[in-house]
Amino acid sequence: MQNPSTEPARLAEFTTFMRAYKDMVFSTATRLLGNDAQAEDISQEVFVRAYAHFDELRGSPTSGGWLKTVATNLAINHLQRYRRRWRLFSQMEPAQEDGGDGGAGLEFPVPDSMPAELDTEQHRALIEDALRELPADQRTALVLYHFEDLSYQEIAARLGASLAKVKTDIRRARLGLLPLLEARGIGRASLDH
Amino acid sequence: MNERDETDLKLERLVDQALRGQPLRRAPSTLESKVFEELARQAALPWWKRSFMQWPKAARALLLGVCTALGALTIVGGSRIAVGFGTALRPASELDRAQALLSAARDLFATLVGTIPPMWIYQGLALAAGLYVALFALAAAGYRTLYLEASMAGGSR
Repeated sequence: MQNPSTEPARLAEFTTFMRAYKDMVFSTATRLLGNDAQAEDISQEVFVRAYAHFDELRGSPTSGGWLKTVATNLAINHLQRYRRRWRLFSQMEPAQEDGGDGGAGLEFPVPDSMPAELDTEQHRALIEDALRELPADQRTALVLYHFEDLSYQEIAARLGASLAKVKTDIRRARLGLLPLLEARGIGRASLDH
Repeated sequence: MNERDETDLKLERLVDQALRGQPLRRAPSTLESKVFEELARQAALPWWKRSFMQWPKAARALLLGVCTALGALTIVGGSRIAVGFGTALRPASELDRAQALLSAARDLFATLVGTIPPMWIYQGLALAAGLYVALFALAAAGYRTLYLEASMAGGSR
């Protein structure tokens, strides 16, 4: 790696590059991890790697995709390493591998649409809070499906899980998310309008 | 399509609508400075402490050459050792040489073990088992104290 202090022009260009993408990288990491401090560490690592490849990334139309892929992979690796490390000692919930039909059915009617004001900053924070409360397996699969546009098969391959488990996790996450949103005042009551 | 499939589709659309409308989170203001601090730290490292791909080309070539030479020496040396054990007075096959090496290693191990009093071996095994159990218990206690309680406290907000 070249010394950044000897390359002010390159450094300035990299700063502009980082400012353009840092929110996207951080959002990707924090949605997957559900933890801002860990997401900041992952984002830091993403940009350190980006600096090492900056000659190829600068001006490339695919640099955003490259950053997102690296952020996603690092976050998933972090989750998997963390899970393996502590599984031995944890009192984890019973394994959900390949199991069942995705949990209990709906106990309430599903509204047809979300209110338009959901994309305000306040609603963003509420929804991200709700996402954080989901179990990690469910949140990761849900985020990969709805934010990263991966298919069930792609998610299963990325996470090293079976297709059935991924489908079950995503269904449970959706079912779990609605009451959490409702508890924050953006659930069924406001959706029924 | 049955009722449950319809409900699932509706649920998927609803969650999709809620999540896709989300604006990006603002990255912490400290992120930029952390990245530059890490870049400066890495740049300050001597070349031999960086990843292999960042080594100077000459150093990489030299290391590859040394590794290749060591590999060749190991193969040649292994063959000579096999010969030294007297298995190759006639042209030996690779299998014969491997058997001779294994046999020599087994004899050496047996000789070494034979010189150690059995009580020492039992005491060593007991000590290793005790240390393993102690380490396991320490790790479990540390995890429950430092992580589980903290996460339960954090989760009850």
